[in-house]
Amino acid sequence: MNRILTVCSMIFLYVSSVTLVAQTNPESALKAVFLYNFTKFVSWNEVDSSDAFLIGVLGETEVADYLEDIAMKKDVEGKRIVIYRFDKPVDVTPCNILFFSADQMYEMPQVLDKLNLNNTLSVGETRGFIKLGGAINFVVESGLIRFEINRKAMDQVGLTASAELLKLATPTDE
Amino acid sequence: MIKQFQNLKLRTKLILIQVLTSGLLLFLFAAYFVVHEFQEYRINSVNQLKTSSQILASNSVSSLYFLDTQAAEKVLSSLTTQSNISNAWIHDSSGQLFASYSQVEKQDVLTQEDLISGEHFSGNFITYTRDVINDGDMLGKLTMRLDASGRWESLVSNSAIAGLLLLIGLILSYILSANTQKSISYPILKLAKTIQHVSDSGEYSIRVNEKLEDETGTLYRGFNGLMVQIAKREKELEEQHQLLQLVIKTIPDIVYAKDLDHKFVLGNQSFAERYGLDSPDEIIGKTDFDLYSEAEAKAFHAAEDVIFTTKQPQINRLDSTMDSEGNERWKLKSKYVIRNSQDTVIGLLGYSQDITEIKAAERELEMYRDNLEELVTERTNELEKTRASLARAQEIAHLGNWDWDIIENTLSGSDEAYNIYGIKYGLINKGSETFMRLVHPEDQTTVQKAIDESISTKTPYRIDHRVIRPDGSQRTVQQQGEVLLDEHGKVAHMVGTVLDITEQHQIEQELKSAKEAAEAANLHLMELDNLKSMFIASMSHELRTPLNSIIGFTGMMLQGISGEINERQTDNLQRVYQSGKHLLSLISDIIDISKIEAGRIDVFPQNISLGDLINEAVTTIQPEAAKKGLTVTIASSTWPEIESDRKRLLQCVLNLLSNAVKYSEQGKIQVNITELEHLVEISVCDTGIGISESDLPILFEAFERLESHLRIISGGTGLGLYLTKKIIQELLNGDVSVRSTLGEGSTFTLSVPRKYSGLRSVNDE
Repeated sequence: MNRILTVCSMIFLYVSSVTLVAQTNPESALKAVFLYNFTKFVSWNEVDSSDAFLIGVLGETEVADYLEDIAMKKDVEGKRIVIYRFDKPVDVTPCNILFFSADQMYEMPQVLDKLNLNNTLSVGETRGFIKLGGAINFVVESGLIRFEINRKAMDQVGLTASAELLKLATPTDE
Repeated sequence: MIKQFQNLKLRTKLILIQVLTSGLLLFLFAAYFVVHEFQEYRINSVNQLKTSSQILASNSVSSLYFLDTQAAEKVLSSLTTQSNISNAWIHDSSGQLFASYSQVEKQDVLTQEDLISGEHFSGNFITYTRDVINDGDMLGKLTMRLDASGRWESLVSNSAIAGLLLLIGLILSYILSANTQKSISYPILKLAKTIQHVSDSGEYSIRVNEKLEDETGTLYRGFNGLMVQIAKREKELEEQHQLLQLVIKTIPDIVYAKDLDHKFVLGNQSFAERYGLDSPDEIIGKTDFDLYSEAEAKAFHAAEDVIFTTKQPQINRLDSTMDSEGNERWKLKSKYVIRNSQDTVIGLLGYSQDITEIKAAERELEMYRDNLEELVTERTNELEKTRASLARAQEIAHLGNWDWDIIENTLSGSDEAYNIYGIKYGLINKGSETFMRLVHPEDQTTVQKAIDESISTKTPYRIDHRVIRPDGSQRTVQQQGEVLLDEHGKVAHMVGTVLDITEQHQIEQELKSAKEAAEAANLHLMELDNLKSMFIASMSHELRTPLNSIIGFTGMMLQGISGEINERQTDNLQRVYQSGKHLLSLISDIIDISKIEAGRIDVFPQNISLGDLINEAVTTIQPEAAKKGLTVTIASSTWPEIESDRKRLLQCVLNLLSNAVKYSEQGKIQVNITELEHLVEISVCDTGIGISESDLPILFEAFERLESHLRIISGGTGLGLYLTKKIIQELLNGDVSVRSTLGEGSTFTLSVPRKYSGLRSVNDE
């Protein structure tokens, strides 16, 4: 119960309009918040001159709805947040964060084919996503949402995770 | 409390002061250090909490972002290194406890207040809460608790040590002060002892002989000086007392003092003598009953009791008694209450003065005073009379006098002065301005000038001016004034008189205009006279020419040149001839006079032999005289030569001779010549009818012929003497005079200067 309250407050903080939704599906809401929070602990090494911070969501998921709510209220280092919804891997265009919904996890190689994912933080929510070359993957441990980090994959696409973030990550199988 | 302290002994006071002072000082020091230590510890603790919490807060940011309680508790567990931090908590943004830490296995409780940001003090604990904020996101609150109990214990033990030290300090201070206070208290105690001795024994010669340089030394010197003063005062008091004794003893009046029981406590020599006592000391202890009759004594006591109760003195009460010889004695008695230093009445002082002689003298004086009053009244009446008569005199003379106080600028004057100016009686303020308003506007400048000059030169002035009275009437006054000087020689007053000369002034004005009118008329007359003379002079020729024809032709007819004439014709012609001649001479005389008056005759001075001139005149008149049987003689011893106009002089002499012949019926005519220093006198003396004294003044006027019977018989123009006078006076600078007695004859005298000066000395207008 306490946990739900905390999640609610966090979501209320960022996305007040979806509080009710969060109560019905706190997991998706929390994932959206965590996605946004990653921007505070990951540094995109490549200089990006565009005035928008792009978050792409591949596949049908409520996370995208919550992200759109966050985008209305928040920014990333002064840049407005733009949410792209991609139905199929072929639609994917370059973005700063690309979230793979559970059903789209196996499309990862296709996406890699299409784009080299350079400078893109890839985040998944399915076990094995790291193995496929994803950078961060959400896992649920004893009812809590945690995440794995693939430092190698992040180095490959030119991203750096802060020590703070790494400290919080659950150890991977590798 | 303070009063109790004041009553302590000097020694105790000094010790107490020192011990209290040092004790207070020590206490303050100790208190300061304890408080300071406490404060310092608090500040340090808070700083420690602030610093630690800042590090913990930043370390717990990520765990809060990702809701990782384990991570947060791991962060908190780093506090084990800080032994005094007992507890720590992290609350998330919703206020839910997120993570906690406890040094011992005991979960401490947090109050709602502790969660407010900042430090909180409660009991042995200091709690500090800060917000955890990242990128503007309020993530939660970090609370830390510090357990200070160990620290307080050490503070208490330190305080105990301080208290102990304080006690030791006080004991030391007491020991020290007990020894040092002697240097202060001993000299003062010594002085106190000396003073006690002096006041007990009355020996004012005692001095404190200790040489000290501090304030106590000053006190000693002051004491010694005071002793000298007291001794001096004592002596003065003694002297005064003796002087007073002497006064009381020697005063001729009676002096005594009584106590409240009416017993005498003092009496002087006079008192003793009065009551037949040997010495004043015998009076002491006696009462009035010992000296007077019982009735008198009772009366005295009753009177004195009144004084004692009312406490009012009885001063200069006049009393009359009979002395042993039956004479009335007058006494002036006074009784005063005597009071002690508490102002309580303790007796009375009596004083009795025998004023019988003074009283007698007073009576005499009173008599004189009455006389004097009468005299003054009499004199006042006289003065009033004099003043009234003076006022009356001034009124009659229209003369007033006034006094101007220049410094006060006030004017006052006699009644008549006010009358003249037509103003009210009384002192006039703004004197000069008021006066100048009364002066006629046209005269103001001159009057002011006269007054100013008089003041500046300090000389009197006199001025006539007009006055316009308040009722509008105009007067003319003569104002005289002069300044009076005060004792410093400064102009202080101006006094003077004012004379109403309106009437005189009017008469003067009238006279003046009359005189002017007369002068104008006179001038007119003179002009007319001149005109007349000029007319006659110019007409003379026209008159003479026809007359000469008449005379000439008549003469020719008389001489028979134009044929024979009978006797009657001769007679008629003779009359025509004589009348013509007369008319001619008349005309000649008139013309001569006119010429002289018109100033048209010139004088031709020449040397004349007076003898020849007289002879010629006598020869000319001889036939006429011979006809009347008169003899003409010339009586003279000298025949002087003079310078004059021969023709005119001869004319005059002839005139006189002709008159002499004309007015003489008998006797002789004598001509005399007299030489004087500058003059020569020719006189013609006859024995004719003479001239009355009343006629002498008009003798030489024109057309005047004297009342006489000869007026009819003698021919004459009436101009002869007038012409003679005119010629002699106006042409020849001489003079003519006459002496005569009616019925006996006349003497006419001509006097002419020996030398003609050319200046007309007479009638030279």
